[in-house]
Amino acid sequence: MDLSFTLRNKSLETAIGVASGTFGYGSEYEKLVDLSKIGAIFTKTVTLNKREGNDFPRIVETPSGMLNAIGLANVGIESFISQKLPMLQKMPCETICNIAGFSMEEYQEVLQKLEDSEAANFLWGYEINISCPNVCHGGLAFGVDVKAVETLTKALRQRTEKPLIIKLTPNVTDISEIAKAAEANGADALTCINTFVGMLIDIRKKIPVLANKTGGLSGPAILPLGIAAAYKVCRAVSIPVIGLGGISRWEDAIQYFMAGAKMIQVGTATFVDPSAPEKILLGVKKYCSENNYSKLSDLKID
Amino acid sequence: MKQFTASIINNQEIAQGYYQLDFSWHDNEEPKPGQFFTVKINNNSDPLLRRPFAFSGYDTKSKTASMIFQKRGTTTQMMAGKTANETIDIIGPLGNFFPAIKDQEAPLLIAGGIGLGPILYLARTLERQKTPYTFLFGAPDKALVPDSKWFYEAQPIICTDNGSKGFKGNPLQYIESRLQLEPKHSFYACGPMGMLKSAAALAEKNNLASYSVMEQMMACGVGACMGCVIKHKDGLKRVCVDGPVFNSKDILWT
Ligand SMILES: Cc1cc2nc3c(=O)[nH]c(=O)nc-3n(C[C@H](O)[C@H](O)[C@H](O)COP(=O)(O)OP(=O)(O)OC[C@H]3O[C@@H](n4cnc5c(N)ncnc54)[C@H](O)[C@@H]3O)c2cc1C
Ligand SMILES: Cc1cc2nc3c(=O)[nH]c(=O)nc-3n(C[C@H](O)[C@H](O)[C@H](O)COP(=O)(O)O)c2cc1C
Ligand code: FES
Repeated sequence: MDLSFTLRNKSLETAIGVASGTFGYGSEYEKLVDLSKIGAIFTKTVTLNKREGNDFPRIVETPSGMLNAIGLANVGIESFISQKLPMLQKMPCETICNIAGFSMEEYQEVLQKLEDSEAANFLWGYEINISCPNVCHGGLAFGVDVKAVETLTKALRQRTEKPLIIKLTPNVTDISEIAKAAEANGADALTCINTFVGMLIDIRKKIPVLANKTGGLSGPAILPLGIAAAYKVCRAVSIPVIGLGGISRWEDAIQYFMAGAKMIQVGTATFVDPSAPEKILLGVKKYCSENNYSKLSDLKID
Repeated sequence: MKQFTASIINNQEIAQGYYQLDFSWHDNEEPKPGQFFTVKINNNSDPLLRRPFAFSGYDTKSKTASMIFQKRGTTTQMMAGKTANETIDIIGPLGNFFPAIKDQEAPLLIAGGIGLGPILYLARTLERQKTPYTFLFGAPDKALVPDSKWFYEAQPIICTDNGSKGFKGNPLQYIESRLQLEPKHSFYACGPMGMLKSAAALAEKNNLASYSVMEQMMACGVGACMGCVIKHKDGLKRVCVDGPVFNSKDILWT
């Protein structure tokens, strides 16, 4: 059974990754997870400057899911390069670096710093988090604006030969339009999807539960939403789609592959059971062999 | 740190809504007072996330760990219904632990309500090491005070808000009215936020060493999600890996 995933002549052994923001920098889970079973770690979003993130409470459980408003807390690109990359390089799986910025320039600067750094040579590729607010444009996320996605993808493409993956936000009117804009401007693949905007209110305190008021919804609750988004995007573009959102069992992963995804990522489910990615991999392998599939792309349905 | 399936050895209600659950522990690493673990109670997506709990004791010989929990929501309701030989999924030990007690130090161990677990474990450890200490436990009412056998070799001074058992008032009022604080004294506290804050202020006023066990909502418990932060003098810190035990002078109490 061929479980590999290829972009720009580079291959990941297994088409299962752990999602940005849910696996830290790998070392946090090293003692609990056999990292050699994972195709790639998608690192926590790194920005130009160090960020403390939002005020707390930052997380809350919801029916079959959770809301988070971490606020892109991260060490900043300089410390990421000096402290986190050497650790990541030692991991027995590939690293895909997730980056974001609060302006077009910032995205480019972060990517350029990685391109210029010898310590970042080993990175397999980049995943671009476009759910970040564009401070120069009233704080609307880059990922909701076709024009912004076109400009951003084109600018980043010019700066790297490594696989460039654009991570889509589902909080848009038509995700296909954004997907096509990224494809047309040089993206190698699309990750589908980031979290959905959500909110809970504490009826005793009469205030929102999260200090940030709203947060991103993830976990099993968003599985059907993620599958629908992936299904739609897979039919709008011809570049590979990486399915993500609500996957906690191998049956969920199979559905993303049937929708047309060529790879999947596991996020919130790792918090619940750190062995989830490994269990999903085993289940996918078993299902494929029982159903005589020799490669993942054969699972795609009409 | 390890993820494993623990067998429940005993589960008993020790005070109104408070349970002590004893369960098998692994060979990998012995838990220390102050550390915690996370529990996943079933394979369902509701409740979804693992829940954190402190160790209230550990028996090296039988490799049995204990916890004291309060029935609050879905996970703890389900935990209350568990009986011997049933299993639960556990990850631990997690987080840091109480610093070692110094020579000549006179530790005051302060537990409020469900903050009892880690303080009881510390008291029992000190008792076995023959290190002198003073142990105070406060509750609103005697219905929330476990029977003395549940404190084992470490009997606390009982304080109740309504005076239904022991000293009338909370542990801090006891300290202020009954003890003469001296530089050798130090605080080790776990319990409601208000109590921790008062303990920190009293320690500060008397220039005493003071440690608090902090709580925050958690998703991963291992430092990956950045969800469990509290305000620290050096910025936001994660309770799960930078704590749960903090020097109370470093916390920005709000
Ligand atoms: C490091 C640490 C150690 C802890 N040790 C113990 C312990 O020894 N014994 C014990 O009974 N409890 C302990 N707690 C609190 C315990 O985690 C919560 O009581 C538990 O998560 C409730 O789960 P539930 O599903 O039953 O309730 P839920 O339905 O999740 O919630 C019920 C109530 O508990 C509150 N709550 C939920 N999660 C937390 C949390 N992580 N911290 C504080 N409040 C929370 C909610 O706001 C709600 O009011 C500890 C928490 C932390 C962070
Ligand atoms: C606590 C938390 C933090 C996250 N941080 C990031 C992040 O920094 N960058 C990013 O692109 N996505 C982030 N995500 C989104 C996840 O990568 C993923 O897209 C989303 O959670 C949906 O997948 P899931 O349902 O499997 O968790 C975060 C999610 C969670 C739960
Ligand atoms: S609970 Fe995830 S970082 Fe502490």
